[in-house]
Amino acid sequence: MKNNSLWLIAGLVGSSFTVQAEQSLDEILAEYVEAKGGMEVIENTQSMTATGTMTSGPMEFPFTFTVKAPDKVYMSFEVQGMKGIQAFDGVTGWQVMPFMGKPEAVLMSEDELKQIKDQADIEGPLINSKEKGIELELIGPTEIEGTDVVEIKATKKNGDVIHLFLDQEYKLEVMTRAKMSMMGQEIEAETYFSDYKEVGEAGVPIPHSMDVKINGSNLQGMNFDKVEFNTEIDDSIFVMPAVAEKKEAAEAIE
Amino acid sequence: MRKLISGLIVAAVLPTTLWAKDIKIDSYTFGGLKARSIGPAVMSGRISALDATAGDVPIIYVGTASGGLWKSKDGGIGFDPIFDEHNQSIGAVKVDPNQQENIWVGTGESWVRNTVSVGDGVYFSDDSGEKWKHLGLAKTERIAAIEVSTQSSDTVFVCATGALWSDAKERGVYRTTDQGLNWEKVLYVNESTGCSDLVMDPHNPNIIYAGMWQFRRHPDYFTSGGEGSGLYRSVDGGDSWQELSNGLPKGEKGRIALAIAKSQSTTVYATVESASTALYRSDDMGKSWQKKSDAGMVQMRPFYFGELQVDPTDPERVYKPSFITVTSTDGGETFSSMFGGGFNFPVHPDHHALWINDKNPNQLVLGTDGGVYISYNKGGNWRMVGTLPVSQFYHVSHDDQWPYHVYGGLQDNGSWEGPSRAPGGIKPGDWNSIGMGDGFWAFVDKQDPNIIYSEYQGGKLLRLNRHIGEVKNIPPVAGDGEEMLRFNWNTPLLVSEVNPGTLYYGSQYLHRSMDQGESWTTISPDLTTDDPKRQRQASTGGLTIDNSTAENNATIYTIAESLVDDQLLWVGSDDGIIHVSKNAGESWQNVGKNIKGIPKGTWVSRVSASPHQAGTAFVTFDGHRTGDMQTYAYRTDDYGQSWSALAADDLGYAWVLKQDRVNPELLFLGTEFGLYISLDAGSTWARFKENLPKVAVHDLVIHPTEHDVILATHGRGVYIIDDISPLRALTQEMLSENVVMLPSRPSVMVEGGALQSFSGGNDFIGENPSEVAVITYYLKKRHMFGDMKINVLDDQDQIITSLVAGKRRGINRVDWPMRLKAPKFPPSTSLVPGFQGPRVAEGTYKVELIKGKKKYYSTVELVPDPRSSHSKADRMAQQALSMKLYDAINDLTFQLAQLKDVVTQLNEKEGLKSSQQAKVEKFEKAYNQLNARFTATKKGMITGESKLREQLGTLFGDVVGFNGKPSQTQYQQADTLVAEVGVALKAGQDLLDQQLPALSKSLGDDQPIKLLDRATWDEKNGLGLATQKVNKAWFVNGGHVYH
Repeated sequence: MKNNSLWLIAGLVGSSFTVQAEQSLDEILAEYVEAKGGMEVIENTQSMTATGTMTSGPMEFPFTFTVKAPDKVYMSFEVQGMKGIQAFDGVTGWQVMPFMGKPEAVLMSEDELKQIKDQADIEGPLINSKEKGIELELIGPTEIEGTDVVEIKATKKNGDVIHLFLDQEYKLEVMTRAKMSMMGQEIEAETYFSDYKEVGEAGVPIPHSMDVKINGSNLQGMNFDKVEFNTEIDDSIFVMPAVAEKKEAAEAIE
Repeated sequence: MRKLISGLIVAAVLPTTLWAKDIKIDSYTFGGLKARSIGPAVMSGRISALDATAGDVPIIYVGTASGGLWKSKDGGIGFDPIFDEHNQSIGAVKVDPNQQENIWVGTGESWVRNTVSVGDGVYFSDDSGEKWKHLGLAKTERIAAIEVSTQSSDTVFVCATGALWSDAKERGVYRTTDQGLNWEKVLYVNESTGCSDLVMDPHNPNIIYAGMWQFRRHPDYFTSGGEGSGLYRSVDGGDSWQELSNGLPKGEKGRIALAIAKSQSTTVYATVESASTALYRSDDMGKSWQKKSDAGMVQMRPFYFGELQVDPTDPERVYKPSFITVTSTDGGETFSSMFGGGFNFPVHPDHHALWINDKNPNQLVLGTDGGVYISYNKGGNWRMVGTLPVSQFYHVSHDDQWPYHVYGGLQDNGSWEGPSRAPGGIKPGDWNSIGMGDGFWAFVDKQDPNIIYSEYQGGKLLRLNRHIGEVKNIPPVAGDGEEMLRFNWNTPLLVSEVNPGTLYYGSQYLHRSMDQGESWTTISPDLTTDDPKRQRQASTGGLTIDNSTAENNATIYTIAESLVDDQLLWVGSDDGIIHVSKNAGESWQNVGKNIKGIPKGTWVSRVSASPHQAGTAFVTFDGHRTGDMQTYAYRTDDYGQSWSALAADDLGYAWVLKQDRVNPELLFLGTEFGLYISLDAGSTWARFKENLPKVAVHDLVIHPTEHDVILATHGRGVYIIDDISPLRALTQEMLSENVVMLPSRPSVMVEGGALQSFSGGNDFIGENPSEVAVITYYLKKRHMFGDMKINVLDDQDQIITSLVAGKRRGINRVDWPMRLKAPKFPPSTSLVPGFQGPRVAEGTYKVELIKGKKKYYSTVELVPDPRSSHSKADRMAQQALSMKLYDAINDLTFQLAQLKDVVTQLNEKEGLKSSQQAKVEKFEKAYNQLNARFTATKKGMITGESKLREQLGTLFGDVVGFNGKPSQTQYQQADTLVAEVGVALKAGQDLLDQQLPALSKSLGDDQPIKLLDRATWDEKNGLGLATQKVNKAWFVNGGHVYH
């Protein structure tokens, strides 16, 4: 599948769809790579920035999300003019949560650090898995909300497991299911992906809508207005601020 | 007011192709139409099996009679169901002692009461219950125990009790040595004798004890005991077995329960049912046995109370779960009585499962007919688990208030009523007990909502004065010299909808009361076979007589009336007879005999009359009590003269079939294995499984004004499928469209809500319906590519708000909070209660669904809360003030943002001369002063600082949070604050006017200051997908009506 044929295929909704004979893991991964624009495009994608809106029940918050290869990430969101930040510079994970009167940056807990490290992997666990020490296992075909998908289990070096459910036809993520630990309790997070749109020169399909369910309940939605690749990003935003940042952290993104 | 939206707008759809017409209706067609569980868990339901990991915080697995398997990871406070897509009747659960992630489940409860369900074999999970594999033995029907060798996780024994209502070879003791890939039957007696219990010596897993039990149930009779029964032992890992008899009763034996003393495993206890049931003890590994206690609790109902446990550290301490659990501390010689010994605590009677923590024998977990209890002092006192909604409803009804309440009776847990929605969810305290015993049908009196009718086993009928809490016994009784009335265990009661004030009640006759049960008229002859061979209940039970009315037979079981002909009555009996009367009971015709293909005498589980056409009725038969598990569903359109079978035969034995009140093609079928829906009058069926486990659906009703389907599940309480309007509208043709907009019922703008409470995690709280507007549509396929969103439009087709669309295949439901997005607040150091925007006005709104380049339209209707005490004028006054404050907040925020933007621009300038720098600093200082004047700037958790921003936010939150007229105080405060906003705006403008020209002049044309304009700011801060201007007229005038 060539990148520019993606829209053509997407447009064929309603055409008859034959279930493919069961594929091997390698075949599926090859199609996945192709669906994502090919290995060259994937490896040349050194950064991604996205802006959009987070929804939680009736509440909405603007947010930004920046990830830079190999392992840096910065997220911010705004509530009533107050700006919350979570970031990781490859070494240190930190956050600013000024909503209860604490505007200074603080270090993340181990659980939070683990999660943000996951987000810092711009490629995701299915790309270059061997180099990352991720073990992949093909579970096989199944269904997510009535959509035919193929399930792949990814086990990370630290033992964390994430299940990825790729659309049988397009080989793009429909859903991921991860177990994570929060304050010593195991919780399950499911992320549903949709609204794939082509981004960048290579037209890489990126989901512009995500729905996160924690232990089966809808927790939040994320909708991207704009996604860009390989924009220039100053490394300093990922670094935990010293005292100087404190003042600004409590202020709005204007 | 509660009418359905008649308009159904389908736009811009692709032409239907021949291929598309073949689209199959399956469970996913129903998509996001989900059932919600309202519980209750306050009385819970029958627990059949337990196991747990021994540790400081045990992981507890609870197997229920008909509500699946549940797991607690927190020592028994919270529980989650982990077996919803499998058979819900659990006979045994076992944690592998070698590997605690390995869980074995044997399905099919072995406490074989009349209403017991059926299992389908053995399941195994190697990840603590996340995923399950079915490992065969599917025909064993019920499994009493599973033991895993303490030396190998691969070697497992299954104690298969087997079929209850028929002979079967698939019973006895099975063994696997390859973790369930292959099974061999290592102990078998005959086709009517199964395994009742099995224990393994934990120190030598080659030594196994098994109780074999001959038993059989018929629709009208139960027998326990026979020549096949006996106690067996293997000392070679199950290769060979010897019957143990030295010291045991000589004559016929019945059910045997076993327990081994882990701390001294040569000691084994057994309760042996016989002509004189007692506890036996062996101290030589079963070679010889001594008779011990034959206390009442040891002898009681051996078929039902076949559990026995020994303290893992004390071989002399024996627990006998029975009607209540009794304890022996002297090796089984004596037991504490039910009125002493520490067990006369408020624990539900009828105990079936007991787990003792090997590492802390003070800790007990007890399974009863009314849920799970946990003790931390060897049973001295108990805490009931509040998170197991496994209540076993037989029937359900509803009243006509808003929100409506549901009424129903439960196995061994009386009758209850509770609300279909409640502030903050449906809590244990929202449920009220309205009956006693085993509850079945319960109804509120249509003319006097203070009166509730309920019943208990064997035909006892009660009338409750709800306010007073007083009950009157009102069942009909036989007159002098008349034949005794025969009432089914689950006697049918019908409170007429079409003839208000009329009650019907069925024995072998149909009885009618017109005076709230004060007097009864018999309006039929005997409508059963009256076959004396079916009336053996006085001698039922076998070795232990057990005449609880559970075997009463040759009785009327189902009564139906027609909503379109008030003279038309239908009656079905438990011995296979169906009668119809077209003249309110004056004469009756036997029409069941016209049905072909149903074995004679098969139990009529339900007759229901069509709400559309007088001659049309539906009937289900249930043959499981004679071993016939087929689905039987029939339809007549000529008052029973002829019948046709509906295309359902392997969906599980059937309990109830109802035709929708609006769409005659839409049918709902409740079987032992879930809810099935047909959109084509019964030609094809699909299981409804969104949030609904594979649980027995014994009854269902369709609410006439709320359009909900209310399900009585026997094992998971009451479920509600909210608003089936979309299902009614969905036709075969629509299924082949890519997108179809579907109707929803009018959305109630609910007022009020929950105030604070902190109840911890020990309560199950029933889910409420969506309390916002619901937008419904159908997608043929999951949306993956490109934009998809929903706009709510005004009558000028301007966007009021944008919503994230649902993307799943089938029916999607999207919530619209009926509110503007929250106002934009200036940056500050504290949050204010302004997270929600003002609510829009009632009315009908247009909905636009955008998928890619195509647009689809429908409407959504918002109606006020029927309970509202506010006039429309008052609600509009609230909206007007909300909007005034909303605007004021946004105006203030914009003004401060504009100034801050200037400061930011100034700070970005480089190489300024000192004179320029001085002007910049002057401006920044003035801005900071102004900002601090109107917003809180102190840092810290609880500063108490409240400036204009905080005062406005608080007032806004208060006004928006109440749906009626704001108070005079609020109006006054609003005037003051809005005036102050005016002052702030002026101060801001003054600052710009006074300093900006000089600043600009000083900086020169090379570095102009660009003033942020309102339109740009609005766009930049548009919250949500679309950044559209708000048409504020909506919030006062309401929407234009589209049809």
